Amino acid sequence: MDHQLIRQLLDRYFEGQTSLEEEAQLRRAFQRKDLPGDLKGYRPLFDYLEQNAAPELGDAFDAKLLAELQPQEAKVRHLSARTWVLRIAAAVALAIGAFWMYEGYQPAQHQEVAGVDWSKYEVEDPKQAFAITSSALKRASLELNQGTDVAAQGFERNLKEISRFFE
Amino acid sequence: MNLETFKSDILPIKTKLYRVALRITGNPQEAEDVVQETLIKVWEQRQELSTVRNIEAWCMQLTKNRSIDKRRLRFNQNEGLDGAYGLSSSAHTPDQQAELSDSYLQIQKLMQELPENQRMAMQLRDVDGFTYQEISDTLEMPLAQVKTNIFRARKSIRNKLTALWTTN
Repeated sequence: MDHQLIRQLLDRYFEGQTSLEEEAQLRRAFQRKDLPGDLKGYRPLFDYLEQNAAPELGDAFDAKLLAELQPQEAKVRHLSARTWVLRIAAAVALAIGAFWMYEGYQPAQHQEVAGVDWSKYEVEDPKQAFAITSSALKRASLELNQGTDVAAQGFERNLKEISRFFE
Repeated sequence: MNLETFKSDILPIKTKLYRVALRITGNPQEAEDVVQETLIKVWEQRQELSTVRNIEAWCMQLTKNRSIDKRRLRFNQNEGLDGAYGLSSSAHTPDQQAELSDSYLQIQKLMQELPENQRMAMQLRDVDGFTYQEISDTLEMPLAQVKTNIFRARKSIRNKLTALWTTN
């Protein structure tokens, strides 16, 4: 790099317009011995910047740090295993509880059903049985017809709303 | 995150963290402690790292805050703030070394006279090779402010240097 180029780069450096790469070039340029008087005055600045670089943190640092971290990792793994055991135990307890509740609930239902003497309501006359069945079917049919009417009315109402919206 | 991921993704930023810590504390041992404490904290919080947008920037901020705490503690203990880091000898003759040390001290004095934000920004850029964005993340300062601080710091150093030449 010739001296004129160094001067131009130096001006751009002081204007804050240089890239990191250009700044590195400048530091290298100021290590040269053949600098003219007007540039030589800036050499202490670039020497300072070069020498003030922080040293590297070496392998000893890594070893010390990892020795601190590894017991923590082991502890986390141990806790994690214990957590799994607790989770399984909780799931088993929940399953047993659910089974017990189900079993406890079933007999109560049987007792209630067993308490009603359905034989009292049993229809023995075939004619009466036919009349009751016909009446039940008629009622069911009526309810079903009413349901379709209500659905059809609702559908028509919604269709009108949609048509109005698009108009 | 397991230990292998930590080693490959987090550990390599130790050097940058160390540079930030060193700029703030001015003490190599203290800076090393700061980096170690920061990385242990990162490891302890590894389950939450997925919510961190920029892990490196987050580590930088942790390091900066911890370094400031250390420096404040030392200052409160009346040990003063030592800014003499970097006065190591290099491959120079004793005469060159004496001359270099004088000029080195002169520049160091000029650097110490800068406002802290300007000095930090200039050191991180010109000594440690950080990008403007990295400095912005580390110092939690807008990018434009970082550039202004660096520009003003360099201009101030240049003016003082030229003033020294005319008086000598």
